[in-house]
Amino acid sequence: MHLLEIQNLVKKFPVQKNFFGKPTAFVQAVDHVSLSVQSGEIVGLVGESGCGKSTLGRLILKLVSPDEGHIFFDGKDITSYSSSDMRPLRRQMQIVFQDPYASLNPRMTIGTALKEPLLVHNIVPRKERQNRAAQLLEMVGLDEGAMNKYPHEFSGGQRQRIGIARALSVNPRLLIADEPVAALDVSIQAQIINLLSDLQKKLNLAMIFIAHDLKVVEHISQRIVVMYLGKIMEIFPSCALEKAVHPYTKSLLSAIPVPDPSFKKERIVLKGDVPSPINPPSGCVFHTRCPLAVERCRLEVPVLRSITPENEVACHLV
Amino acid sequence: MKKRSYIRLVFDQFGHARLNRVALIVMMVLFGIAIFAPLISPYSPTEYNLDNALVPPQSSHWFGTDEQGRDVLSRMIYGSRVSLSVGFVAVGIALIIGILLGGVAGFYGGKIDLIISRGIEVMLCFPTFFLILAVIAFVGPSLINIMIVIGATGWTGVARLVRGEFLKLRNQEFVVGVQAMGAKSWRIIFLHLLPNSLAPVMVSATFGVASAILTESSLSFLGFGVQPPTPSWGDILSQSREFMDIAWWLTLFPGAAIFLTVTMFNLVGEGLRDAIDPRLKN
Repeated sequence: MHLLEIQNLVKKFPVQKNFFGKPTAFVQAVDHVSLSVQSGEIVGLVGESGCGKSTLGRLILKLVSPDEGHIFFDGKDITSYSSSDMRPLRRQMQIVFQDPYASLNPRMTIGTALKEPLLVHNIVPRKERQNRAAQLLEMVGLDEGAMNKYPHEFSGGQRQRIGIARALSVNPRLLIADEPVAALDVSIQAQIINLLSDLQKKLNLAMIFIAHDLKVVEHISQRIVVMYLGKIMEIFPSCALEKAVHPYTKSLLSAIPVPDPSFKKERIVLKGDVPSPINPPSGCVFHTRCPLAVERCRLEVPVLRSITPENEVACHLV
Repeated sequence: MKKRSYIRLVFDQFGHARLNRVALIVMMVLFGIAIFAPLISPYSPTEYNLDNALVPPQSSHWFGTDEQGRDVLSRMIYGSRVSLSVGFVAVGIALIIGILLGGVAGFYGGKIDLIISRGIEVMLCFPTFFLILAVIAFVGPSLINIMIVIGATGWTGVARLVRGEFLKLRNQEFVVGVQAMGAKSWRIIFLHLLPNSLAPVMVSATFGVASAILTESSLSFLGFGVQPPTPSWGDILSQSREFMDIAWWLTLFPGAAIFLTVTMFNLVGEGLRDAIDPRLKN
């Protein structure tokens, strides 16, 4: 059984309202997305900014409620769960955020912040919470002395470690990592990715790793999901990047820099900008920039279909 | 990096300007006077002695005496209790109402926010002072009533501030994180949102104290304030009108006291506002 399964999830955000407060225009942030995650699996989610990947992460955690579709967690349909129904489940799904400077309460010491989830879920006896917090800090490579300090006394990388420790304090089964390294230096990025990858193995976490950098995602995840304008374009195993077939994925792959000056490779440069999500193109949303687009792409929306057991793609031409 | 708490940082920043330090000290002295009034006032504030009426300032009566021979200094010392307690209690009431309504509006948003925001706008439309006068005319002037009425009409600024801060903080990642953690609303509001929005609220509270003191003095001046024989600055000022041309001290000292107190509170507020401004942080 899948730990997490989402079916045809849709989220629209109103951007314009008429005189009577009725929304007249929407941003189609997530458009009929289906995806499943096994327990202990890392799924990478990539896409340009604004393609709906963060919204998808928040939909899964029910921080934003979906307009259509279903979310199954551990076999239960949690789509219509109220916030109090969700409360016990929140232990099992946690999130790590992008901006380490905004993800910790500036008025709370690290110790208090780490003990808070334990208090909220009442899972560790009060006397042992201090020890548990120290343990968590050690797990992410910080020392116990951090406990009495405030977030502003730490660097970005350290704060991200604290954010990870806090998310893992309740022993979740699913972790949404919402661009956890996008705001960090490259050298720190590697540390955080390795930390997440080690912890994932140790704790057998399922993880959705959101990023806009394919190289980062390739390193950590088993499967990669490519999104464009709120839709999934392709799902493929990260061990076989070259087997990706969707023209969008190919153009993304061709943009990964290769640290070898003598190596010449074909760059697929997309023309134009991402179309407005308020008024997405008809048919395949990618057709306006696709080098292969034909008449059919303008008219007919391609569905996500399996072409090999691990590879699913939404394109008419492959 | 040396460990310094935020409060310490603000305090240091505040102390940089000499004017701020002076204002704070004057404020402290005023508190001291109000608290220790029975110990420091040379005479009883209500005991009259008609043989000694309208005595100009001299060594036995520093600020002179009024038309009933009461010592003006003693009356003013006791009067500071009225002014300061009205100032603080009224602002306390305004803070409670403002934080609750503003917090609820900012946290829940939607229709609740719409209703509360329109309510605030309606309140802002009233000329507050005349509203207070009208209400006092109905419920009768007493210290408690004045505190309640000033507090109940002065919460709009606080409510707007808190609402704005909450709206701003609500989508910050740490707040979303606490939600994702499964925390209940009260925990999010009181432990995460409120502590991070209090700084500007405290500044506005300081200005609020100054304006409440001024309102109380105006009410007393018009005879709607604390009733005689309890002394208050506005009341002393009001009685002095009849003797203005023969007893200048009756007008000058209470006027100066009101002026000084209001100015000092405003200065402290101003200094605090500058001190919490993140752009000034080094």
